[in-house]
Amino acid sequence: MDDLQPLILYWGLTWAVVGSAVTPLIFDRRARNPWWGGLIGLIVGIISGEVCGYGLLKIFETLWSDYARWISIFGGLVLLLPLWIFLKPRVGEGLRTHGIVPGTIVPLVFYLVSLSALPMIWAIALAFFEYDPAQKGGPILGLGGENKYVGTQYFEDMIEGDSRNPREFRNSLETTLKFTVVVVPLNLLITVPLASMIESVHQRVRVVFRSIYFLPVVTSSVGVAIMWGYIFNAQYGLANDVTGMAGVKPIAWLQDPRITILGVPVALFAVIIAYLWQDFGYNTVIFIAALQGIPDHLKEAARVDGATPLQVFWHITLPLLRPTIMFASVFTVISSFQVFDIIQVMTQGGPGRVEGKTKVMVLNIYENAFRFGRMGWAAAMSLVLVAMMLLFTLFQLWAFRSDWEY
Amino acid sequence: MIKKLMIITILVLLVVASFSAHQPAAARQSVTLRLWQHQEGPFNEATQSLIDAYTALHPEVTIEVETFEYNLYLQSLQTSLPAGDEADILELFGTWVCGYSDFLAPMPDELTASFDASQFYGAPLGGYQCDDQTYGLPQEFNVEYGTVLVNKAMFEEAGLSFPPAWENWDALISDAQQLAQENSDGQMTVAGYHFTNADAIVFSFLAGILQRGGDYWNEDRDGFQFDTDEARETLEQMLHMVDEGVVDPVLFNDTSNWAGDAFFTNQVAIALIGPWAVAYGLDSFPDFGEFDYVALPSSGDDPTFAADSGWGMTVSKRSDHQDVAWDFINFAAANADNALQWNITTGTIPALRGLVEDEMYRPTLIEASPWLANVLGELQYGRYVGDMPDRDLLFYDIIYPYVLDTLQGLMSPEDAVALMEEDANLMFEE
Repeated sequence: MDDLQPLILYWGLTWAVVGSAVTPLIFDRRARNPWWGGLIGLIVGIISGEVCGYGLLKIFETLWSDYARWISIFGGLVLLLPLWIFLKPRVGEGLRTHGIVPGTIVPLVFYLVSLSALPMIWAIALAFFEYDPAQKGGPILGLGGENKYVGTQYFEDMIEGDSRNPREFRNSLETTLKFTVVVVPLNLLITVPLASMIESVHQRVRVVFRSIYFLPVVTSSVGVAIMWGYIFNAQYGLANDVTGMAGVKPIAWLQDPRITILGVPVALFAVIIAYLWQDFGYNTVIFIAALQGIPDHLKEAARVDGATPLQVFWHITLPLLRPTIMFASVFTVISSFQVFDIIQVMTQGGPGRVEGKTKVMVLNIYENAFRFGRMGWAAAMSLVLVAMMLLFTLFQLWAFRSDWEY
Repeated sequence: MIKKLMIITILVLLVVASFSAHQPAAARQSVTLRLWQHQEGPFNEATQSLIDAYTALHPEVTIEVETFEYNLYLQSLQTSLPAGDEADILELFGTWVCGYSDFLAPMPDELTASFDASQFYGAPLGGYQCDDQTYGLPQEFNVEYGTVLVNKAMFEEAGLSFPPAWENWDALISDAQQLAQENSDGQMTVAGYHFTNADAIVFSFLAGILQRGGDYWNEDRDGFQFDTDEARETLEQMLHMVDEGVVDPVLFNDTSNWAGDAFFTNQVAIALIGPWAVAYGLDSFPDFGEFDYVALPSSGDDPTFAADSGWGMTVSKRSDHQDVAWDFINFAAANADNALQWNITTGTIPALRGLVEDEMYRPTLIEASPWLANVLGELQYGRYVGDMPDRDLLFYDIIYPYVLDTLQGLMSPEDAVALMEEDANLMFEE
């Protein structure tokens, strides 16, 4: 049993959840505070899962080796069962019914803390160390030792450094900003009018349109990227057939680093088109729902006053959509900053290998962390990415703020 | 009451049993080993055959194979070795081994006593030797330079003699120009000489430096030197070939029209790629026509080129059965018959000298892989590329990007070699 680490993870996570989900219900039935039940169940579940799981594994490793791992999973029951069976009811208290609340919340909080908050704290810590998992670190979490403390060096390098990593960082930052600046307005320019048009047709047809436009959203990103990769193929792609009809010579859309449109590399435009195609259905559906929530009498009043359909859209519909536009804009910006899979499959960050024309920040972070083992540098870039998303979001919340409701 | 007492007794027994289980398990007859390998059809098939043969001789041993896609394998090694959940036997590329030697078990003393290093070629074995210790055994001599694949039908169609025997680079360029084809829009559809894959670019660049009398290592071999006349001349020679129209580096590179596929789909007439690609190519395109491997001309009097060790097997330091794992490695890589079968199935060049030089094995090897005949003659010029902090970083994130960007017209050869040297030497500081 050399591979104990996955089992340790299963034992702990499984019984933490079972313990914290079931124990509040039992506490509730015994007229005890179910929140304490959640906490006690969590602790007992983890301890029992780990200690007794290991014990069961060792017992059955020799007796029944083929099934030892499966049996060890039940280690959590060794201490949880007595807790559930022998817990005495509090005398004089009636049956309560809200044990389901802590029974739901405590496991979820546990998952959130263990799988989101702790990794985030770990990432913040890593940003100040030259951390590489292959190096021999210090005794505390592998920090120190060869994984030496570098303070704010990485952040200073990002601004002032002229070696490869800072240059790549600044290039990927610029590419990410270009991507976002093009994607967000284009997305809104497509989805708001489109939603408005779909909303204006008969209900039965509307459902068909909505389904069609939403289909790319539920399609695998990798599949979408492969399809658009074929469309933009320099030698036999559909895109060149179409541009060829207008007399344009074939373009190596995804390969040629030298061609730009308004300063934006043509390869970046190609991945933006693919990204928009997959993403716009999401915002379209949100805007359709928002349009349905706008009271008809407001539009009717405008029409009675002689407003044209365009004026109704511009002066009534659009202002009332403002909170939804803010929501869509915030989420589109966040997802644009996080774009990865489409670019990884279509261009792998190229063309241009040194300063990849489509190498966005997440791709740069991924390569540094998981290909070249520069976890510290990657973590520092991640913090900058999070800070940028936060700033952009705050700016949008301010720009689209409204102090009225309808 | 009795019911409660029974439940308590059972639970207490379970808890006590759990704690008492820290005693060592009874000695077992059977041994189960895990083996990690990158995913590649012929490699996986060949390794499984070795396992089957070994376990037939040692029925008490079970070897479970786990394969990974190449990039995922790199990540798994980087994270699993420090975390300690790696397999017992790890397939590693020779040039990676010293980087991971802290986590690997050196050859056991009893095997070292009888081990004859001269039975292996120096270049492949060199990757597995760090600080006077041997950390694994190579199964192949990875040669990415020295010979090229040539497409017979294309040569005949262009009225060129086949197989070609180029005396110098001008002769090769002349042939490649005649073999290259473009469509009516001026787009290259067939590359005359495809040397713009990542490995091809890297090894062409390193060979060019060596053959011009230079070196990419500094005198103390603790840093790289790329900002040299020899490196600049090599890069200018590559640029010259692009200017002469033998290949379009925008349309033909590692991510677009990769030589391994492009050659076997008739999009390339001459391809610089290792012999391992033939097994892959014939597996994927079994109806492909006739081809051959022929020697490249040298850029100087000395035809030396850098060779990159090759795939082989190592043992984890944490394995509970290092002796059995090493026995399997020895069985697979040092036994001539087993190694030969592995090389034939994978289409790779043997790391074992005897398979190439001994008349008992060489005919079998050539009969199974006739295209290796010319490659084997070039092995003598292969020089181990050297131990470096991060081979993949240098090859695929430094040399390849700078050279390809230069060939694509994004930077000058002077800037490229200067930046390459600066970036490469940062590895020694990290």
